[in-house]
Amino acid sequence: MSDGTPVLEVNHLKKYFNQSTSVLDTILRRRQSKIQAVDDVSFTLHENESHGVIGESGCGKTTLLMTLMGLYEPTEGEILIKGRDITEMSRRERKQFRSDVQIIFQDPFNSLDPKMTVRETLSEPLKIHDMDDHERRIRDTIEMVELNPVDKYIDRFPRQLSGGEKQRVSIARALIVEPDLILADEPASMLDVSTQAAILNLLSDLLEETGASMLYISHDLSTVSYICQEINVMYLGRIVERNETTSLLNDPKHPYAKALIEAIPIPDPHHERARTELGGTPRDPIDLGDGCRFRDRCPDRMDVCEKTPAFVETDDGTETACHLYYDHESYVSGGGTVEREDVTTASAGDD
Amino acid sequence: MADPLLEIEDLTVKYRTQGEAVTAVSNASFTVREGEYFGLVGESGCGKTTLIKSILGGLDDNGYIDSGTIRYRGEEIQDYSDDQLNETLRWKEVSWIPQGSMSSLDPLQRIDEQAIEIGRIHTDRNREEILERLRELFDIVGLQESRISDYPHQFSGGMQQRALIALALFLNPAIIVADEPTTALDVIMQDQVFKYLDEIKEDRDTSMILVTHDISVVFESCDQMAIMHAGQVAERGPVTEVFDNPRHPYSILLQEAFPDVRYPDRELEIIDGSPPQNVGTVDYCTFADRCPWAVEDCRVEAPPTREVGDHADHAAACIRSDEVLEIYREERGKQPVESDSV
Repeated sequence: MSDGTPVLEVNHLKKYFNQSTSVLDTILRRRQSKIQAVDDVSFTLHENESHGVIGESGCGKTTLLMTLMGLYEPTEGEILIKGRDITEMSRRERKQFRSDVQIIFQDPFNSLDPKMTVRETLSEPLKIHDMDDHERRIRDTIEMVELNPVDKYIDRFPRQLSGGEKQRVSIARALIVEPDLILADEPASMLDVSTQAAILNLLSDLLEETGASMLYISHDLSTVSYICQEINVMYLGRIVERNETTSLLNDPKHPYAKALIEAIPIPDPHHERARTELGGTPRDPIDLGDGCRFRDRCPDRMDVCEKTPAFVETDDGTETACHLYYDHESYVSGGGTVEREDVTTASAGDD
Repeated sequence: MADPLLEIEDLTVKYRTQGEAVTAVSNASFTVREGEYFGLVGESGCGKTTLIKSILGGLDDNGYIDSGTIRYRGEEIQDYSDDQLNETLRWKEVSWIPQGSMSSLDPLQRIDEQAIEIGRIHTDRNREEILERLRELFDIVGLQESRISDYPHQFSGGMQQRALIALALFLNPAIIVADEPTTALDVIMQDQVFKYLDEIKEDRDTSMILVTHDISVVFESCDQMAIMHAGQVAERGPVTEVFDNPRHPYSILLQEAFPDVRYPDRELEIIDGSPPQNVGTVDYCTFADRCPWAVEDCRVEAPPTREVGDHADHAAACIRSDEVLEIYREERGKQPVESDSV
């Protein structure tokens, strides 16, 4: 893996769902509407990097995760794991993929089999992937997730573990097959604050130790910022902003990213924070058509927002999809990569 | 200072079980005054929901108030029957936004029908007056007046929450008790809800008890707060006092465990272990087993709640309350309070 091939590369990934149709719709030959859960998402994750995807419920982040795991067939676009397209894998490659990519679920209370002890839970993946030396690996991993002493925990059932301990077992289950990529679906969100910090610290230590990469999905920016170097902000199926964590928090560009960051409560009674100016809720992601998807709630809306904005890099390195941040004329003639055709015609209507 | 509205004193609440009774709240005391927003913070299972349910007589069948008093405007209400509570307190004086309130609107009834039901039982207003009042309230919480006859499912989560707040305000109560009102909501929506709660506070003299695990919303929105751990009130006082000068190990560590988006590089505190389940008489500090500074005496008797700091309302239940903050700062090599501009 030292050849610099990204662990995960996602190019123009789309996942649309068909909305259920009634008999009447079929008889009348109504056009079937599409739910655009993930729409043209691209990003790259290198070895030992951890990136976050944040967004409100319904923004498509879970669909993105499921598609990356191979649970949904992508509608368009490609997903490359260590350079190989996951949709074109042979059986053998697919099995390798299943051990290279591991997931940690949000809910530790329901994602462990209640009838399996910690030892059984951890030996399952070892059996499936024909790995040797079960006992040693199991003990090492339990120690790695700091469930000490090992003998106290190894024969326990999930009901005998607290929420934090359960989540540690989930993490151990993911790590035991030595994956290159961990997909984490808000692993700390259902835990109490006192345990949450422990899980976040543990995860970031383990990433360093094992060299694995992680894609961390959450709605809670304040926890994501502790663990990810780079954050993608998602809104209605699209990534609207991407930046290195501190820069994103200090200087968000996209109006949605701004609103999202400004709405986070600050645990300090001396800090004066204005309540959000934003009204309404995101639309349903059904037949969204052209244009910026945030335009109906955006305080900075312009005419040009009816055109889909390009995902551009601003002067300070932020990547954002907002018409406020690029000069359309020079962008097009300057030979920038125009991701969507619409942009070429967008220049006329600027402010 | 405003008059006390609700006073909880040495309240102990237990649940009958097959074995010995479980003590969910032990010797809790605090006071909520008129026009004040009071935050009740703690981890899951700390007894915060049990405590507020006991105020309104909403405990589960096996729960009972073992000792202590609850006074509302000076009158003891802990022994009130359901009828008495219905007549005097519920909705009119104290209204309750329960946890998971998205599911506490009747899905088969339009919002206006639900309001009419409340109005018929508790007031002698006629239908038109009730609807007029509901329209007013919808306007206050930022919902379109035309949507009063929608069904709950036609609203998004945040709107349902606001509709519920509108219903809670219906009879102009003196206190709203809100149990995790925004936990299921996204941050932007949460902020929208609090925006309206702020406005309600400014425009009228309503008090609120905000029960939550999220200390940051309490710091932002409340005047006074209490931090609970495993049934005991660890510390209470004005939010600024508890923040600047915490005197109970649990409140010190809990604050420092909370991620602050302004300082993503800060090391977060971890509180080892989990809260104990208490049975019978709680004659020890429930935090002792998780406390890095516990001494032998912590396990011998329940720590008395003592006034600390300069503020009369500020009290902590820790026998080492006069030294823990200094010990903490010394151990972590921290300077006293790095707070940003006031």
